[in-house]
Amino acid sequence: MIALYLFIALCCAALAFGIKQRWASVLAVLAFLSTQLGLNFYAWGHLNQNDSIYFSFDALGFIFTSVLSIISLPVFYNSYRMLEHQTGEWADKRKASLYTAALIILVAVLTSVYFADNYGILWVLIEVSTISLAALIYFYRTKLALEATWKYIFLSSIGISLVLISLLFLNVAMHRESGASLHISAVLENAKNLDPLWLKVAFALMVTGLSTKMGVFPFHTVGIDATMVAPHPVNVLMSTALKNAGFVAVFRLYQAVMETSIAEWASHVLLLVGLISIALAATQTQRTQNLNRMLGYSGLEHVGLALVGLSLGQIGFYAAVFHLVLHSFAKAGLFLQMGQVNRIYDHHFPEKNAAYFHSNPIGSLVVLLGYIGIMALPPSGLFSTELMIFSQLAAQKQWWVLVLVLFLMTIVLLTLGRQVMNMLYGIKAQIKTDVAVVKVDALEIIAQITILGLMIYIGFNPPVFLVDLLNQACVR
Amino acid sequence: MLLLLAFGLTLVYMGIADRVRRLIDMLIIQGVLLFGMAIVQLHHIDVLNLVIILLETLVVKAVVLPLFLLRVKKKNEISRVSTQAVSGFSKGLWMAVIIAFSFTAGHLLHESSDAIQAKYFSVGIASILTGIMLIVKHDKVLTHLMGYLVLENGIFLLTLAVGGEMPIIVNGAILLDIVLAVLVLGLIINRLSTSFGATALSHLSELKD
Repeated sequence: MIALYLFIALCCAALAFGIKQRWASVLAVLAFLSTQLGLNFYAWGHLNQNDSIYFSFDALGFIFTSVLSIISLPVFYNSYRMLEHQTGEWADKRKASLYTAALIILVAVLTSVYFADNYGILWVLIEVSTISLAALIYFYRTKLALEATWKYIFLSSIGISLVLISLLFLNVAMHRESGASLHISAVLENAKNLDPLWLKVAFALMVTGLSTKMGVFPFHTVGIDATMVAPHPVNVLMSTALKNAGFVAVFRLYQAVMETSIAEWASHVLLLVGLISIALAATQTQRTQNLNRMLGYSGLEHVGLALVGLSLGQIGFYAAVFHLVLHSFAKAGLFLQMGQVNRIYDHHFPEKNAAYFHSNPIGSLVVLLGYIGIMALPPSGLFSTELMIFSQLAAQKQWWVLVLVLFLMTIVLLTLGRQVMNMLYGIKAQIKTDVAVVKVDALEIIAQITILGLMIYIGFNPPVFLVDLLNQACVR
Repeated sequence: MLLLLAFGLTLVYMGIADRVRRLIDMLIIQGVLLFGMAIVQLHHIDVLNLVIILLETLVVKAVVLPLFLLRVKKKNEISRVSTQAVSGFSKGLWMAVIIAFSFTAGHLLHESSDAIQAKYFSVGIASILTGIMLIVKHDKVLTHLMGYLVLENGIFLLTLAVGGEMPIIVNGAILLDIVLAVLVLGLIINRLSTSFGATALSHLSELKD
């Protein structure tokens, strides 16, 4: 089924790219979104079943695919509005068609990453995501976009090379007992027989290499630089679905590692990476004035916290996966609204965006809600997952970690809060008279509020089926 | 063994070379040597995998990519690997450390696991570290790109060291990865030259906090 899905996605991308007309792009997107939702329902009906030898519809994959499918709808709509705004009457057809095709491919490969049951295939798909993202980051064709694209491709290629070396070592770790299979389920089944030394090296390289995708230390800068210049719908995917894809890949290997004698070592590695990421987020947000960049650092903080959660064992697994689900909704709502801000003003800096409440009151409420969401302040759903992680840290008596994390997260909360308030109300409550009150696209606002509402609702009242899925995902 | 020794010598030369042209020449030689080593090591390989390896080493690594790099070099008038002079002694010292470290690591890991071939593993690690050194010690983006290729050559040697064949789809993807990355990055270098008027890393620092 996933092979068919990828084939249809490729056809849709070819249609958008080949026929450089608005109708072709719209048709391609509609066909692709139908396929995406179709695959989601198919996966729901075939949960815990294999799909060819390379893919498997497991709970973890299903959860993140569902998140991506939900987010994809407003992302494509927002992209449509952006392309209209950017290109007038779809004037720059080449640029718009390349953007649409690359976006379709990106969503398709990320979906496939979630369901991949083979490390080799997973590596190939992550590689493809880099190329399609490069085309999207370079959308505005500016000097900054060029610089970001160069850095993104180059560092991602290095990261992907490290992942490839990790797979080679994983192969060595498996040799003795179970042959040279790179199947994720085979690695998990034979975890106890894996050579600990080679597994250690493989795990460390996997975490380092995939940090370009997860957006955590040490390769976190590439994603943040890209966030500064990429179109906002692309930022949504980079800050949510892409991070989730990197997390899924690491989580699958970590589950196998947890069955071995190096489990404690691996959890220390994740704890360290998580803590450094949160610390970097806290220090770097102080240095930047750019709200997009700040939101990028907020992503660094949240994935860092998810890694801290992972290091805490079973309950931590649950909290980490759930945290990333809710973070995806919160960040998506906020970045989609930032796209609207970008269309109202042609710049990003909050000082110049002062008095946004005057220009766009409903949009401002979305920004406020999004800020509350990503900062995990009640009623944000993230409050419940952070509470789970903190409780677990307290239960394990890791007091110094708990205090450090709380301290660093408070710094991010205050710094980001200052910038958001500055953007909404203005430095001296001044009202920019040169910016007219704009007419807001109701559909975009409805989508943003729905996504943020979902984050609040499922955070505090998670449906039974979601809890079951999360439990299944964490005990595989 | 001779092929490995020759490969090691190309690494040392690349580590201390000052001219971009010399680095490209070494990349051509490395492509040919890798093909030779693959033939020696993977004698039981199936035809399709052999074709892919032939494509990857002889065609892509020894011909297509060097030609492309030469074009980029010529178009952007890049002759030296770095804008700042790096002392030959310092480079030589780095290479000595890399080689010593690689052979020690290879030897130690071979002792703990007989699943790897120490010689290939050591030269593979040396190649990866040399690639990283080329990236870290030089400030021109073209040199970085060549460092990336040396790193990829090191990964190829590691696949020979662990003796396991990757599935054909992964081998194909590795080939595609190298070609696409180098072509796309090469094109970006051309654009960087047009937009920034230079290809040194110091000019790529506008994206910051």
